[in-house]
Amino acid sequence: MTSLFNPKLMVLDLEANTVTEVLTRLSDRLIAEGYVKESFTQAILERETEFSTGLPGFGRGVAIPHADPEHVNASVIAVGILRNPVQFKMMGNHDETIDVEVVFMLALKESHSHMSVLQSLMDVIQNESLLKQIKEAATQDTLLQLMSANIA
Amino acid sequence: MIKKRVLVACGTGVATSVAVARKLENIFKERGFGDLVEVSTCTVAEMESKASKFDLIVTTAHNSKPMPVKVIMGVAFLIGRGTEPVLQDILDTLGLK
Repeated sequence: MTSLFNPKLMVLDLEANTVTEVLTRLSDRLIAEGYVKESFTQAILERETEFSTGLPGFGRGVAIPHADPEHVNASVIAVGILRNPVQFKMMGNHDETIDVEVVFMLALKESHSHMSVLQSLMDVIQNESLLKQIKEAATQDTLLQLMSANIA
Repeated sequence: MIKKRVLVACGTGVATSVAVARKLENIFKERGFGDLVEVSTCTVAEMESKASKFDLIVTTAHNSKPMPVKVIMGVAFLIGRGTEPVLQDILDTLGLK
């Protein structure tokens, strides 16, 4: 299996004020690297509006935006560390908001071959010290190593 | 015995519903209900047409449409907190003890 991570998609100190900005910045990188089609941005923005993905990770808010597989060329996960928290609506409960600091943007071609990926991502969200390390990663390589070591 | 059927739905049907479904399958196995429950996944868009074939829907998505079977919010299984009352609700709904 090819790697689900690319150093160019480890985005440190992402400066954005709105959900749309966060998603567009990350999606633009995915498009530039050829992992997704141009239609991915619109799809992920619509998805997020209809089915929000903010989750209360342990110690800090996390979002896991994703879109239909038809917009994806090759599976990959982009990671965005936000300079300032951005309010996402909570998954399953649009009346609540989450101050999101870490974004895992999932571009997945199909679900079942990535089951362990999703499982380990959920474990990361529940791991306070690991989330802290991810949030505070100083370089793209550090962040890539943290992700590769914990997402299999 | 006829298996109980649980449908897990999310926005795309490929991410969180699959993660929650796997988690539920593991919990059912641990509790000795592995052979009694069948867990399927779908998108929220498919949920309405499929609902009547299931005993229960678990979803991670905001849902305001009325469904023919009970709908339980399953986000707790993603974040690993507050799962116990949700699980109890699921087991009670399925009549598993």
